[in-house]
Amino acid sequence: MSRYALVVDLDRCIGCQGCEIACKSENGVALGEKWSKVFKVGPTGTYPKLEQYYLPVMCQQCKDAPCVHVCPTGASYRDPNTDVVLVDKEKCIGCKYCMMACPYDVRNWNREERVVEKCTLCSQRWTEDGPVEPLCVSACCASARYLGDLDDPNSAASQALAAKPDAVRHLKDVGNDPSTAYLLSEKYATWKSGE
Amino acid sequence: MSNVVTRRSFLKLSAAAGAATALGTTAVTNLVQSSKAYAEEDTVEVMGTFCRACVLACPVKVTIRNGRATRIEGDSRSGLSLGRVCPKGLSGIQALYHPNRTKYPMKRVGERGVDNKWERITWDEGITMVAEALIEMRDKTGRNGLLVTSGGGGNPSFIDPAGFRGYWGAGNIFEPGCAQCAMPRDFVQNMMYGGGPEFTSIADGQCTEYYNPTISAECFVIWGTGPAQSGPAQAGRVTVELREHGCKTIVVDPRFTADAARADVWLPIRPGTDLAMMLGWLNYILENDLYDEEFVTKWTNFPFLVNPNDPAGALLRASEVAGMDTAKGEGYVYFDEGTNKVTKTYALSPENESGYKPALFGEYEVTLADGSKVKCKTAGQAYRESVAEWTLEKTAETCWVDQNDIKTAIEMYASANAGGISLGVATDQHPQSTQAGMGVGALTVLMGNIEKPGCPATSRPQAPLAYMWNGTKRAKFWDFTPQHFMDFDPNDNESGYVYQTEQAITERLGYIEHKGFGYWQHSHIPTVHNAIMTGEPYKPHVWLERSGNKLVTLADSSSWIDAIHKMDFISHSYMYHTSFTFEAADVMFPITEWLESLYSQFGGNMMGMYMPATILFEHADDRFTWGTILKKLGDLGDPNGYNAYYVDKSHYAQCDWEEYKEALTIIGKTFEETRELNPWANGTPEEVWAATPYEQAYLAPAEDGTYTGFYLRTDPADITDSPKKLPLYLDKMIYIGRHGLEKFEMPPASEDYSPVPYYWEPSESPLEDSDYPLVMTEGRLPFIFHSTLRNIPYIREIYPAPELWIDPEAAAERGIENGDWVRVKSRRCEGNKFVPDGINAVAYVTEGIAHGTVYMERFWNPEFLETDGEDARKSWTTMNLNTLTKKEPPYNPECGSYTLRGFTVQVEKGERPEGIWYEPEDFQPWMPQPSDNTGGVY
Repeated sequence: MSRYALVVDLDRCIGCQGCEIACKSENGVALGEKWSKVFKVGPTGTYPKLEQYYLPVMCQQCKDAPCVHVCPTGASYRDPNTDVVLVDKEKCIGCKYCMMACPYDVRNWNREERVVEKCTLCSQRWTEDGPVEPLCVSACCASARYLGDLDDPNSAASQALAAKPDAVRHLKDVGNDPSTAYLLSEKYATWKSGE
Repeated sequence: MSNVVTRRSFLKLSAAAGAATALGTTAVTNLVQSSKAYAEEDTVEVMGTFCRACVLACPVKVTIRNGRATRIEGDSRSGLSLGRVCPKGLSGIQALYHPNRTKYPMKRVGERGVDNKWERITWDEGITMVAEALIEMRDKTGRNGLLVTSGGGGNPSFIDPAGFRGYWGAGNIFEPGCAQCAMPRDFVQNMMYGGGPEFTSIADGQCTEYYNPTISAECFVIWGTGPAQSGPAQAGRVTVELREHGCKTIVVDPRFTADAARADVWLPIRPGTDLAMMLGWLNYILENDLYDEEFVTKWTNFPFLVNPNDPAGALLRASEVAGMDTAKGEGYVYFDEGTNKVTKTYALSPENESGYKPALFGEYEVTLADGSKVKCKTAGQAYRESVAEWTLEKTAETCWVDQNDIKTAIEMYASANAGGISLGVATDQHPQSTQAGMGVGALTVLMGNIEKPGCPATSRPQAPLAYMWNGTKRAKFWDFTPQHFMDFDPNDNESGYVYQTEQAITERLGYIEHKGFGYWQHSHIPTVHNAIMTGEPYKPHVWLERSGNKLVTLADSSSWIDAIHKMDFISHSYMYHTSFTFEAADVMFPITEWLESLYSQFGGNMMGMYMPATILFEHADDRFTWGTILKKLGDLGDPNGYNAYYVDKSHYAQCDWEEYKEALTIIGKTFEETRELNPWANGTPEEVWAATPYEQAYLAPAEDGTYTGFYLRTDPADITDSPKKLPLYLDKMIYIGRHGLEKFEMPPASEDYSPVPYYWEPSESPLEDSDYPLVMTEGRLPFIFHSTLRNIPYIREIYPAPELWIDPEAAAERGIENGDWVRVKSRRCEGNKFVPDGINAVAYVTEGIAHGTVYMERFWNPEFLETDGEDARKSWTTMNLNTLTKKEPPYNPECGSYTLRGFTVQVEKGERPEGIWYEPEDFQPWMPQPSDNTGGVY
C-alpha cells in the first residue's frame, strides 16, 4: 500500500506564502478559505538572540483519519488506489462533522456549493504514470516541499526525511497518526508545534 | 495573432464563465478525476514567457485553455529560478483579468482630484491630446517643459522614457526609484569593481555567482536587503541553498527577516546608521591587518599618493610632480620601496610585476613640478585615518547593536576565503546611498573578494546566443539587449540630425549638483518639484507618467498635489487606474500586463521575450504609446518627431504591430515558431558557469602585453595612461563632481564629492527628538512589488493592511497590543491638510525589530477608487507611508537620494479606518473576470 503525503523542510521555508496562492489558484479556492496555510511561529527568545520558523499546515493525511471515521455518508474517504484522503463532494451533505473531528482545522467550508473541501495533494492531476507534483510543491520558492509515498524509501519525501533524521517532526498526534512530516533542525529553532 | 479564439469557442467560454465564480473552477473540482466540461473540445497550449511581476523576470510556463490564461508554473530550465515561482508571479492571472483593468483610453470628465469620472475616447484622440499639448508647450515656453516619469513596478522597459525624451530633445525624467533604488549602488560599484564584475545586489538579479552549484561561498553578508522578500524564487531560493551548503550568513537589518532567522549573526541596526557600521568594519579590518595585503598592494590604488594641496584629497597626477615622464599619458604616482623613489604608476605585466614594490601606507616627500616640496600620504594611509575613529565601541553605540556581535560578524566575514556582501534598497533610500556603495565596495576589494569562485563580484560573460532576432531598422538587435540605456544618445543616428543639445542635458533639474544622475539620464525629484512650484529655473508643463502610483512611491507625497495642479497637461499610462490617475491624469492609456506584453528579456542562461498569452480590450504595449506620440508629432509638423519616426525610424517610434513582431522573430523562423521556442536557453547552466573567467578576467594578457587589469570604468577621464587598478580610494568621484559624466565639460557641483565613505547622524535623529522618538524603516514583502498588487484578491487576503512592527517595550509605553490599529505620524503631518493625523496600520508587537525602531511597508487602498470624489483620495492618504517620508534636504551629494528610511515618527493607538476592505470576502469584487483575446489595439 502507498502512503502519499507532503514533507515540508522548515529549515528551508522562507514564509513567502506562495504555496497558499498556488493552491488557491489551481483549485479555485474561495476568498476566506485556505487548503494550505502558513503560520509564523515566533520569534521567541531574548532580543537579539531570537528564533523563528514558518509552519505551512494542510491536510496531514492521517493514517487513522478521524474525518473518514465520522463521515456519515462516506464522502470523506480514502482513495482505494493511492490511499489519499479525499472528499467526494457528490456525497457530502454538509454536516461538518469532519471539520469538527479534524485536529488540525484544515478542512474548509465551500459556501457556494455547501460542501466540505480540503487539500487533495492535487491528485486530480495525477496520471496513469503516477503522481504529479502539486502546485504548492512545484512553485515553492525555497524548494522546501516534497510530495511522495512515505512507504517508498526512494520517493522525494522519504529521501528528504532520511537526509535529516534528527529533524523530523509531526504535528500533535492524538491517535490519528499524521503522515505529513516537517523537518526543523535544532540549530535553527526548537519545535513548538507538537503539543 | 495565433491565439485569437474562434467564434465557436468564444461563445462556449462565455457560457462557462457565467457559472464560474473564480478562475480555474471550471477545470478543477475537489473530486478525483472529474470529467471536465467540454474536455474533448478544449484547446490547451503551454506557452513560455517571462514573468514581470518584479525585475527578476523568472521564466514561466503559462497554460492557455481555449484562449485564456489559466495557470502559471515555473520553467525548470532556468539556472536562476529552477522552475520556482513566487506569489507575485502566481498573481499574474488575477492581474490580467482584473475587472478594473483600464480597457480603453479615457478622458477626464470634471476636475483633477475632485471627480472620478471618465469618458471613453479613441487612441487617436488621446495621442492627439498629448501631441498637441507638447507642441503648444514647445511654442510657448520651449521643449524643456516635458516631464516623463516611470517606475520599476509594472514597467519592464527602463529605457523607453529616456528614448522618448531624447528624441523630443529636452526635459526631465524621474523614477521614484533611481536615486532611491539601485542607481547609487550600481553607479559606485561599477567604478569600484572595474565595470566587469556584477554589482552585488542579490535582490536585483545580480550575484549570479551564488547560483553556480560548483562554487563554495563561505560567507554571505545580507546588508539591508531581503532575498526572501525581494525575489523569493531566485534570491530567496539561492540563499537557502547557500546555507544548506554551509555558507555562513550575516544579516544586517532592523527586521528579523526570514533570512535573519536562519543567519549565523543578526545585527539589528538602527536605520540610517549603515555607514557607521561599515566604517566600523573597515576600521577593524585595516587596524587588525585582516585584508588581503598582496591583492590590495598589487591591484588597488591604495599605494597612490594623495595631493595635499587638493581640497577634496584628489590623487596627485604625474604631471604635477617634478621629473615624471608623461609621454605615455597622464597617470598617478606612488612611492616605491625598492628604489625609494616617487614613481609614476604603470600597468603591471608578467615582465614588470616583480619590480613593483609600492608602499601601501605612510607619508612621503614629493617634489612638485614647480619645485616645491610636499608631504603626501598614500591613499591607503588617508583612508585608514578617515575611518580610525570608528572603534567597535563607537560603532556599537551609534548603531544600537551589541559590540561582540559586530566583532563576531566582521571576523566571520574577514576569515572567509570566498563570499561577498549584498546591499539592497535600504541604503539607497537614504542620503548616504553612494557612501554605502563605496563602503561595501571597499569591504569587497580589501578582502580580494573579486573575480574569484564564490564571490558575487565576478564577471559573467554573455553566453553565445542560441538564436538571433531578425531586427529591423526600427528595432535593431541591440535594442533587444537590456541595460543599454546608460549610453543612449539620440544624436547617434544616420541622418546626423541633432535632437538633443548639450544645453538641454546640462539644464536637467538637479544634474549639475548631483552628477550621478548622468548614469541613468534622470533628474532630481525634489528639484523638479521645486521647479514646478516656483518656475525656477524653468517650469515643467506637460507630464507623461508611465507606471503605477506616484502618490504612493514619492516621498512626502502630499506635497505633490499642489504641483499636480500647476501642470498644464498630464497623461497616465498603466494597466489600471490608481490614485495618481484620480488626482492628476487628464487622459489615461490602457497598457498591457506582462501576460499581454511582447518585449525582449533575459535571465541567467535563458533568453527570449515576454510573449503575449492574450491581449485584451484596447491594450497596447508601452513602447507603442511613445512611438505613436512621436509619429503624431511628426504628422503635426514637429521636426524632432518627424525625424525620429520618418527619417531615423527610431526604435522608440515603434507603432506597427506586424513590423514589431517581425523584428522580434528569430532569423529563419516564423513568429509562430519563435513563440514555440520562447524562451530559449543559451547553453545549459553548467555551460554558463564553466565560461566564468575568474582571475583570468584581469590576469589575461591585453594587446600591449600588460595584464588586462581593472580599467573599464575605474579611471577619471584625465588619466590617459591607466594603471588598471581598482579604486579603493575613489579619486574618480572627485573628478566627476568637478567635470561631470558627459562627453562635454559640465559646470562643477557646489561642493566636492568625497573619495572615501563617511557618516553623518541622520537629519531626524532619535538621539535628540522627543516628539517623534521612534525610527522608521521600510522593507519589502514577498507578495507585493513597489506599488503593485494591492488590488489582487489573493494577495490582499494575505496582507489586507500594512503591519507596523514595534518592540514590546515601545508598544507597552503606548498602550498598544498586538493586532491593535495604530496611527503613525511624522513631521510631514504638521500643517498637512491630507494626513494631519497620520496614517493607519495594524500593530505587530514583536521582539523581531531593532528596539526603538518601527517598520512599515508602503501601502495604498485601491478600494477607495471604487468611489467618487473625496473618498477616492483616501486611496493614498489612509495607509501610505510615503506621506510621512522626507523630500527635504539633506540629499546624497552624488546621486541626490532623499530620506525614505531612517526618519523619526510617533505611534499611538488608533482605530480601524472606515471604508477599507479588510476581510477576505471584501475583495470578491476584484476576482478575475476573464475575457477573450482582442489582439489589442495595434
